[in-house]
Amino acid sequence: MSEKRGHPAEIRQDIAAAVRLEWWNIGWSISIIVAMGLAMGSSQAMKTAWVEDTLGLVPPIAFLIAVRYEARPSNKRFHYGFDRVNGLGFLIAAVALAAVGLLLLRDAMIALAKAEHVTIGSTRIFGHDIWLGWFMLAAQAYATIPPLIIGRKELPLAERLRDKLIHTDALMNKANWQTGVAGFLGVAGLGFGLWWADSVAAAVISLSIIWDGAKALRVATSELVDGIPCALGGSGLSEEAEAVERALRKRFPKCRVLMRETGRYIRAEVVGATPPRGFDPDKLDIPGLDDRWRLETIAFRP
Amino acid sequence: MKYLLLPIMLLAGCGDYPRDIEGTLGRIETRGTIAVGIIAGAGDHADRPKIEAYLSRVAQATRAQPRLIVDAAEPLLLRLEGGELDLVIGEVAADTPWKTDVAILEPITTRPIGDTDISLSPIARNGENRWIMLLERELRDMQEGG
Repeated sequence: MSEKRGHPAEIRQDIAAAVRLEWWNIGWSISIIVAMGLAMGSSQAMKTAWVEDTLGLVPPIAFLIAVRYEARPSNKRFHYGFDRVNGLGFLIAAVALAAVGLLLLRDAMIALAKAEHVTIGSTRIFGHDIWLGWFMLAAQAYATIPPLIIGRKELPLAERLRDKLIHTDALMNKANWQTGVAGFLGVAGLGFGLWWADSVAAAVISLSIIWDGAKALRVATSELVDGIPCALGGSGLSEEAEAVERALRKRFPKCRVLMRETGRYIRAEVVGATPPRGFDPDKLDIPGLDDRWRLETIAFRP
Repeated sequence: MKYLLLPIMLLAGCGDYPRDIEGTLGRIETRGTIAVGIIAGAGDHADRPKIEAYLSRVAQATRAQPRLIVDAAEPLLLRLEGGELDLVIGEVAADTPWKTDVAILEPITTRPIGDTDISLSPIARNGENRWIMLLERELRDMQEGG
């Protein structure tokens, strides 16, 4: 039973940094949503980008909720604590990421099939008629910068915390800045009289977003049905889990070793053995597992 | 991003940005005529002088002569959508189903009908952004008495 209160001491500093970063993420995302909302006019490409920016709020909010729950101790209703809330948040973020990709692809395909010619008019400011496309280009250019920076800052934190939710948020930020570039090219292309420019750019980018979303969904669902501990951004057994398996097989050679992942933690079970007298899991030599906090428990099933 | 912005800024400086998707303005200037559809009823409107003044401004800006056709709204808007007409002027409601198929510009004038307003507006083909900018500019100049 996980009876710890709060996060392991080794990762508290990184957790605090991740929380700060995700608040910044939400703040910048809201500023982008407002800027895009003011500039979007009747452009469908801009509307799609706006919806995607709004969906981009899902992973950071999911992380902030999950991280609060995760720190809670186990109780009468939740005997194993709340480690898996992070996994639940990961699933929600993965669904949002896949939805962004599918939405982008659907809109691009509809626009291409209908051969939509987008009208962008003008407005008069201080006696000068200014094409509204300039405001859209400025909003799109602005929309690419925060996700680019925040996404890059999230990756090392996700690595250190083994946090797939933050990793998915980094992918979401990548999707957002790429969509911003596609939207920028789209409006710019429209200015050159190329009606198909933004749809083609959006369709190409949507495929990579769908791929990332599908991969994240696969790992998130695997975690929820007690699949093996996966490497960040992949669906294979993580190196740390391999190290735990090797060490347990060496110590208990005739037993089966089962493993699963609850959020950022690995839980191992040795089947066919009882715990040796005085066995302390924290003192088990596990070469290759540098961050011991990753291994939450070793259980025994005779 | 600066590498993307630079060529666009240069083009804008050359005055050739944005362009029309189907090249309406270029065709008008080459041909020397503007194919204008007047939705039946609009020509008899009390604001007919405003329509004439507006067309005169557009003609001057493009150095092309308007060729007027009067017909019902549907055939004119279909011909506009198909590229046979460059401009349609007529009264349209704010919730007209045509509003996504064609570009309905700022109104020349409006009048109330029941609880809503109906607008006498220039209507252009979607995506002809350079032509639409010219139509909007001339309308604003006229409204401001310039």
